[in-house]
Amino acid sequence: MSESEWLALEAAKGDPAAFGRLVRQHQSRLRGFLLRLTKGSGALADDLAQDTFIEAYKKIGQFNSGNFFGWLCAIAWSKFLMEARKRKLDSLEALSEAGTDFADDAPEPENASLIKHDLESAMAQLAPMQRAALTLCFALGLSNEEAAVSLNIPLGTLKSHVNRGRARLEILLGDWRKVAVS
Amino acid sequence: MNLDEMLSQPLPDVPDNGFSARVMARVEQQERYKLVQIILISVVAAALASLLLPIRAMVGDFAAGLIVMSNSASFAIAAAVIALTFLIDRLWSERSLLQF
Repeated sequence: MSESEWLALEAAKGDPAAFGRLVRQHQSRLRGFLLRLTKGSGALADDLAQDTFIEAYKKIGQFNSGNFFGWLCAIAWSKFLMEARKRKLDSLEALSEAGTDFADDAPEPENASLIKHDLESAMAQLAPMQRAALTLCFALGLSNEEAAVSLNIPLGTLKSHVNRGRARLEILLGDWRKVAVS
Repeated sequence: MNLDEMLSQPLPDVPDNGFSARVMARVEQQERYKLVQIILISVVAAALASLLLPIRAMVGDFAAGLIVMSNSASFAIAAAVIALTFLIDRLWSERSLLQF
């Protein structure tokens, strides 16, 4: 049993200190995930992360075993979808204008340190589901099965989102490199 | 760097900056709210019960039952075993938590 699982079971028995340790352990990765979903809007990502942890605290008794972080991501994803529906998706797509902007035009490719920015800018052009699938499977290291459970979709659907997202990223990053060379 | 390597880079570390403390403050607030709800429901239920139920007769029966139990050795042993089990379980879980 992992430390997180053990702490979750202790928290389920009514130990808030154990839950506090879970929050400290997972806050960085969860907020990173939400930052990517919200295209770098720090305030919104933090609000969603707080709501996610509060919901997790209320439902901690429902966590049995397995990947605790994956379980948190499932809650975060549903919170994100609710927020997206509330904002009617359009304004969520425009969020980047208010937050740290990743979704602007092609970056200045001469600077090698901007590779990361390239990727974030390209990521911001993807559909939220593709962004979430790629982030969970690659950057956060969840297995395909765990990511499919977190996003509440069948495994085949997840794989197709990953493949389509990767293909789109290849095109976007390739286009920007061509612009840079010319 | 190919695309898979780029995607597999860990997400940038997000500093806590009081985030965990804010979450725990909300958790405590939630707990307090729950406690207030439980107290309110208990008070209302007790008030209703005192109005609707024959409390005096029930208290008399309960007191008589307690007197019978207080003279029973087997009841005393069972109560001691339950209390001891609870105590050992609490001590054990606190010790395991400290080991992390």
